[in-house]
Amino acid sequence: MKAAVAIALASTACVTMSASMMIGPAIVAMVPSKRVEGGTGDLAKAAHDRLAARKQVALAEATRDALAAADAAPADLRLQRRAAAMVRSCAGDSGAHAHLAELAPHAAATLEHLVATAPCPGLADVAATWLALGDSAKGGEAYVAAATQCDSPEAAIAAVVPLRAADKCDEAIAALRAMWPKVHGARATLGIALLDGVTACSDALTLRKNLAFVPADVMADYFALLQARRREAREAERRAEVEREREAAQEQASAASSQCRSECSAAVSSCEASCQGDGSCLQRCSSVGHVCNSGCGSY
Amino acid sequence: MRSWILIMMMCGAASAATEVAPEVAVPAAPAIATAPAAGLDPDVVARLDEVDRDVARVAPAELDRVLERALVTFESDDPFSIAQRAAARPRTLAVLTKLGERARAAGELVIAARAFDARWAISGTHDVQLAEVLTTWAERDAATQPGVALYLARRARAADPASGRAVELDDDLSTNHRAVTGKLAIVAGVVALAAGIYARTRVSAIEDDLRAHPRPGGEVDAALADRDRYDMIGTGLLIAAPIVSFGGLAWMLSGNPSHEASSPGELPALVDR
Repeated sequence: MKAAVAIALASTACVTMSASMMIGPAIVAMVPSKRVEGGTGDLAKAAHDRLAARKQVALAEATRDALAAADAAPADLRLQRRAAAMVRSCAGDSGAHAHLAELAPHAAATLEHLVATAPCPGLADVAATWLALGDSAKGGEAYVAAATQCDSPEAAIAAVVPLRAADKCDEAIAALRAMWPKVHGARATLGIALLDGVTACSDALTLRKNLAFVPADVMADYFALLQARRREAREAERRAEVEREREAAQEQASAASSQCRSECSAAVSSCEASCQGDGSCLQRCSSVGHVCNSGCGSY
Repeated sequence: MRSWILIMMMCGAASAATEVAPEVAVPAAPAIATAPAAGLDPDVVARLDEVDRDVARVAPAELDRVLERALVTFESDDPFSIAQRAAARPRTLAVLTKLGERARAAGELVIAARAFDARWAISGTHDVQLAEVLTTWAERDAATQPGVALYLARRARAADPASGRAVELDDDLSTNHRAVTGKLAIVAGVVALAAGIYARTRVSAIEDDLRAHPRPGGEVDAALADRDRYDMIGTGLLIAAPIVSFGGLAWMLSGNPSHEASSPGELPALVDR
C-alpha cells in the first residue's frame, strides 16, 4: 500500500514539474510572433551626412553657375544682381561658406562689373554682398557710394552699421548729413531712421554737434522722441523688474508654505504616535493639524 | 496600409511646404525677381544641357557625378533655385530617366536607384522602374544587410504599391521564419506531456490491478513487464516534453528579426522624400 502511494506521489510530482515547466513556452506559442515595425525606417548617418553636405555643395555649384551666367551675359542686370545675391546666400550658409574661397575671385570680378554696368542699384547689391562676405569697410563704403550716386537715403542709413563696425563713423555721418535734404519733409519714419543713424554713430558729447545740420525745431522734436524712448525703455525695465520680484516673492511664499505644511504634518504624526490608539486623542491631533495647516497660507 | 498612406501624405506635405518667394529683397535697392519672366535662367539650362550630354558620354561608373550635377537645382536651398524647380522639372525628369536607364543597363544598380529615386521625389508619382531597381538591390543585399534590404523593399513598395516582389520581400524580411517550427515544437512538447501522463496512469492502473486481483505467475510477470515499459516511456516523455518545448521556444525567439529598416548611405537621393 505504501509503495502504491509512493509511486502515485512520484508520478504526480513528475507530471506537475514537467507541466509547470511548459507554461512559459505554451504562453509564448499563443502570442503572435514578432515582426519588424512598419514604416519607412531610419535614415542612416551616412545618408544624413550626405544629404546635408550635398545641400551645401549644390548651393556652391549653383552660385558658381550663376556667376558664369552673369559673365556670359554682361548686359543682363538681373543675372548680375542674381549672382551677387547667390554669393550672399552662399556666405550666409555655414556649410557652403567653405566653398567661398574658391568663388571669391570670380565673385569680386562680377561685383566690379555690376557696379560698372549699373551703379544704381548695383552699388547697394555690392554693399550687401561685401557685408555678407564679412568686409564691413567695403560694404559701408559701397553703401555710401550708393547713397551719393543713387540719391538713396536708405543706402546712407544702411551704411551706419558696417561703417560703425569698421570705425568709420565720420563717413557715415557725412553720408547721412548729405541725405538729409532728401528725407526732410518725406516720410517721417525715414527721417527718424536717418537721425537714429546719426545717434548710433554719436555719443552724449558729440550727438548735438553731429545733428547740427538738422533744423532746431526738428532737433527738439527728435530729442523729445529720444527722451520718450528712454522713458519707455526705463518703464519696460521697471515693469520687468517688478515682474521678476513678484515671481521671486511668489516662489518664496510657496516654499515657506510648503515647509510649514511639512512641519504641521510632522507634528500631527508625532501627536498621533503619542495617542496609542485613543480615539479622542487622535481626533484632537487631527484638529490641531487642520488649525496648523490653515495658518500656512494658500500656496 | 494606413501607415503607408500617412507617410505618402506627409511626403506630399513636405514637398508642398517649400515656399517659392517671387523676389529677393535687397536693402536700399529694388528687389530681384527669383525667376526670369519666362523659362529658365541660362545657367540652369546650360547645366541641364551639360548633364544631357554627359549621360551618353561618360563611363557608367561616373554617372553618379552627372546625377549630382542634374540635381543641383533641387538640392540647393537658395530662393533662385527653388523658384526655378517647377520650370526645370520636365527636363530634369527626362535626364534622370536617361541616366537611370543607362546605369541600369550597365549594371550600376546603386546609381540607377539614385536616379530613379530622385525622379520619384521630383515627380511625386508612382515609379515602377524605381521599385524594380530597389527590389533587385534589396534581393542582392538581403542576406548580408537585412536592415538595408528591408528599407529598400519598403521604399520600393512606396514607389510602386503594386509591386508584388517588393511586398513579398518586405514580408519576408519583416517576419520571423522560425515561428511556425518553433510553435510546432512547443505543441509537440504538450502532446508528449499528455502522452507521458497517459503512460504514468497506465503504470498506476497496472499496479492497482495486480493488487486487487490475484493472478497466475506468468500473467503477473507480463503485467510487471508492461508496467516497467509504461513507466520508462512515461518518464521519458515527461522529461522530453519541457526539453522539446523549451527548444522550440529558443528556436522561435532566435528567429525574431534583430534588424530595423535603415537606409543605405546612398538613399534617399533627395531630402524631400
